[in-house]
Amino acid sequence: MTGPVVNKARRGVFLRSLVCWLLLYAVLLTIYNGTYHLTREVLIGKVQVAPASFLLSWTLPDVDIRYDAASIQTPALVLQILRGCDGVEVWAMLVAAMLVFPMPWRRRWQGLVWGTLLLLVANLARIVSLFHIALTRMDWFDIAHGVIWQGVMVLLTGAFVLGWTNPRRVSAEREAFS
Amino acid sequence: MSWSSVRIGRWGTTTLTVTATQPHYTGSTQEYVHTVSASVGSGIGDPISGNNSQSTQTTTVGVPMLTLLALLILGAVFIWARWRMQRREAEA
Repeated sequence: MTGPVVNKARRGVFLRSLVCWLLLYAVLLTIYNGTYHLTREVLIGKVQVAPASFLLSWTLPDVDIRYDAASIQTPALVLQILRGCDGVEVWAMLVAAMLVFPMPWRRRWQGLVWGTLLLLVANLARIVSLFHIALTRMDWFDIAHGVIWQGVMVLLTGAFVLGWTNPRRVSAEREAFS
Repeated sequence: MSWSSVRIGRWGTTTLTVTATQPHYTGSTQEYVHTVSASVGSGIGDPISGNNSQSTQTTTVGVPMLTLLALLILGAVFIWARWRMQRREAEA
């Protein structure tokens, strides 16, 4: 095949891959939103609220920390973990990329596991730190939540994806296991 | 909002004042602040006059993770990562 034909074919592969990524992302978000009433207790209650409350009780031993299915409470503060607070949008974007972008299956599964752990730990750190800030310096809360933690989440996820899809590492792993 | 009840008890002269402020809401953090305070204006002969008022403030916040803009920026990073893989394949 000639150069322009090859380039056109490659461009087609690239665009198809992006469309598949976006479609899978949309499907994952639709499933998440459609089943939220069923999964909320686990995704919010067990995975976010309970561990964050445990960490808060540990880091704030003198404060009476209580929690229910979707919020962490002290007498003066209620932190609600609502839809969108759990990081599923970012996680779905990551999962879709790991499943669609070309890489060996072994690297794909490892990326899914490490990426999920990274987002989970980062979100727990986010919730715990925001609770501390809301409790002690409420005037810092807006900037911590709206600027700093958003920036941190974008940087962390972006760096992870760029590192994990690094073409040299992907090629090296492909050659090692071929 | 505030209201008072005069003459607590049958013959008393105590005034109870309860004040609840309008909850303050901000959209970015889904934040509500409720303040409720109560005070008792005692009559003559209050043995402990320092405990006649109480105020509680409860702040409720939600912490959505990313705004649409942040998600779009992250999406652009993913697209760039994919394009970088594509370019590498083309070079190989």
